[in-house]
Amino acid sequence: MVSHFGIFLPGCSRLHRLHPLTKLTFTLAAVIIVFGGPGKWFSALVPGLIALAILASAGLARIGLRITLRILVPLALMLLFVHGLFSPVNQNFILQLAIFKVGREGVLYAVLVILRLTAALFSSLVLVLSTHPAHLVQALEEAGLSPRFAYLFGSPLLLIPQLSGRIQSIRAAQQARGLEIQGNLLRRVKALFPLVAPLAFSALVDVEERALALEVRGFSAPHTKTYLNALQDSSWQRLLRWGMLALAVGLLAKRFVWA
Amino acid sequence: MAAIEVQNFSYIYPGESEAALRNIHFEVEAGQLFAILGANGAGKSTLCLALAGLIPHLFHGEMNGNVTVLGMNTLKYGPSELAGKVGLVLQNPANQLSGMRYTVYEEVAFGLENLGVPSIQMPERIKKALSWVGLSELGDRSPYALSGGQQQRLALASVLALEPQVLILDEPTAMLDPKGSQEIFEIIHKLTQMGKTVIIAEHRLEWVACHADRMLVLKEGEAILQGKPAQVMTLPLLKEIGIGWLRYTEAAYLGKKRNLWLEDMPLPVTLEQAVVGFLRV
Amino acid sequence: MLIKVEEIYFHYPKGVQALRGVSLTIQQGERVALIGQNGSGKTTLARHLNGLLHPQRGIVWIGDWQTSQHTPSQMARRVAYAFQNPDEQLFRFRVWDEVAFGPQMLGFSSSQVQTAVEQSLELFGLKASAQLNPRDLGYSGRKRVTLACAFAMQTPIVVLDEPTAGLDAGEQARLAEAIHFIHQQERTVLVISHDMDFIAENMERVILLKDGQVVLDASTEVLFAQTRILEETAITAPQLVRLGLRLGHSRPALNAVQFLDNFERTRLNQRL
Repeated sequence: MVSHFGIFLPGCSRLHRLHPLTKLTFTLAAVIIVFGGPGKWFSALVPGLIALAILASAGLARIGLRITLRILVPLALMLLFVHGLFSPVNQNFILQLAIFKVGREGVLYAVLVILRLTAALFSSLVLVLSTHPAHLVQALEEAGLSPRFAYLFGSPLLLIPQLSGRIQSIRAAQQARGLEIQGNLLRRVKALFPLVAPLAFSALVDVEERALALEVRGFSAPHTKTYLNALQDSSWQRLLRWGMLALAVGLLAKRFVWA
Repeated sequence: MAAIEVQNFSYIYPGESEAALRNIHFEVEAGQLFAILGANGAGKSTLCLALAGLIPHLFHGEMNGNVTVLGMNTLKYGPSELAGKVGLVLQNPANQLSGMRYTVYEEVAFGLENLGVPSIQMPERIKKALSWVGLSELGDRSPYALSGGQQQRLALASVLALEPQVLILDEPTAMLDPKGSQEIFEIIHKLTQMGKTVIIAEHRLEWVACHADRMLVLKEGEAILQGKPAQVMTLPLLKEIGIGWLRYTEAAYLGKKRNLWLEDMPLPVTLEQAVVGFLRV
Repeated sequence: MLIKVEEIYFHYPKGVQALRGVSLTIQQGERVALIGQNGSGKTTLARHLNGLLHPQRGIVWIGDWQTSQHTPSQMARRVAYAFQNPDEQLFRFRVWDEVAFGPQMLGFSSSQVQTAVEQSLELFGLKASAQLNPRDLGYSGRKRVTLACAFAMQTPIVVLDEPTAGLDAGEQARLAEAIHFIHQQERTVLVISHDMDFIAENMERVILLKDGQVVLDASTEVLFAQTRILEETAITAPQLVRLGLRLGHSRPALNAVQFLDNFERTRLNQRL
């Protein structure tokens, strides 16, 4: 599932061909509405459903759901547990488990948070699954962002595929020195530092070397950058971007100013 | 005017008390293949960084003296200005990938984009660079799906696309297997035939002995020897400072004592010279 | 401690068949080199020796232990393994502590740790750097630290993956001495390498792999005499072996002295 470029999945759908900034704006607008829009449940559900529909139109719904479930299911369970049992606003109790009582308010709150996170995740996936990091960076640079900053934006995605291979190597090397990584909790915790520290160090060494290689290829050159492939934009997309932002700001205002 | 002029160059890394390089002084003529030899820590990498302008522009320590490449003094001109004229290739192939490009083809374009080369010129320059390194067939491959040797060739292509006149290579084959190393050496040989000036820091003496026009020997930050391979690589000093001799040279040297090598015959630094020498005995 | 590999077959999860029926026996105290192109299976084979990988068919014995019945950390008691990339294992703040890690994990007493570490530091010229942070050493320094780590574990078997890569001639000489030192302690050394000159001078036996199979398993001298097989597997013979070939010597020379002996002998024969 993880390609050589983090989780970007190439494709030919309409969504893939949209300008990266359009997709970025959608994500930002959606997240703003999800967390700041009026009508808690409405604002949590609608953007999420729209995002899911968009993913489906590009054939990315299944992957999107899989990723979301993987990330959110453990979190969801934890939230339900914590809020259901221990929320201070619990008054009406709907369930009894041994000595614990599950409160309705807590559960509802947990469900709201889960819905919001899901919606936010779907909205982010609309951007991340359908956009090549280099194109996102190019879009940001064309919009005026400095290349250095734009690179920082795209570079975490660069690290992901290299990480898992490296983690494997580190595990192997440390085990070969007698480090016990299986067993009780204490042992596993003790094994963390020897496993994580080399990761950090080798990542640092790589970053330093890469910085040199980039410099030599003119990364900091003051020239205006040109691009091998032009990103396709259109006036209706520009209109759409402004429209989405306006909608988000408007809904935000409706919630806080007109409350 | 020489392609590269280094005059009384000294450099101390920030926070260090000992100089990494002291009073380095040498010239490289255009079109030469110039080798830098030295034990680990002698300062080869530092010198390579200085020739590319990364010292002093990226590394801010204390620099004295002058490094002039193609008439440009590195105190004034940094890697950004030198980018189309001087190329640098480092040891670790994977760390020279931009990490932001999906295909080999796009990876080579990265430098061209940075330098503002018009997009209509790009495809031709990319194709040329890929053909120089023998990666033309792999243009659509992901840079991360290449072997170490292929990635190093990609790093070379990315730099060659900018059409530099001077190429600096800091132990380019250190992390490669013999096949990968051979590929790199063949490309370098082609480049010198094309008239490019090449500086290479290397431990693999056999190839360097055959192909270098001149070499510089570093010991603990100082340039202690300069000359042609046949002169430099037969000095016993090289064994004392951790660089060592080729086995041919050692065999001939020991052979002298057993009358198995002619007294007046210079010690060999290549297989051919050794064969000829031993046949004469 | 005997190493016995019995007809092992191994393929990676993605399906690449890396080892196809490999068998070999290595006696205690041998100095063996594993050579072959990248992708020949030499690293895969080496990783079976300390239990990092288990064969799908066949058994790997280290002494009386079957590797499939032990975790890699247990196998570390018998087989020390130095990986190629030092930056994937360094994590302590002083060289001394880094080298002490392996012995500590194996349960050495503090005086045993002391002895093991000091001896190892001495072997690799790291005494002066003992109190430094390994990260402050250059690449070859960090590499020597990881080699010292493996040696300090005092295991009967030591596996080194490309130990000469990145080392200059002086450092390689030191490595050669270190290998000789533990050979005299009758510990087994297995080296994966592309450096044929180093192998010719320091290893007694060479195992050549191609496409997951053992193509040749012989003494160093016998192996480097097989010119045709070396050509087929794209292995470049050591400098003196190539020189000897050009001069018509009948036996390959593994070092300068042997070369000159061969040279004298050939000349004598020619005169007769």
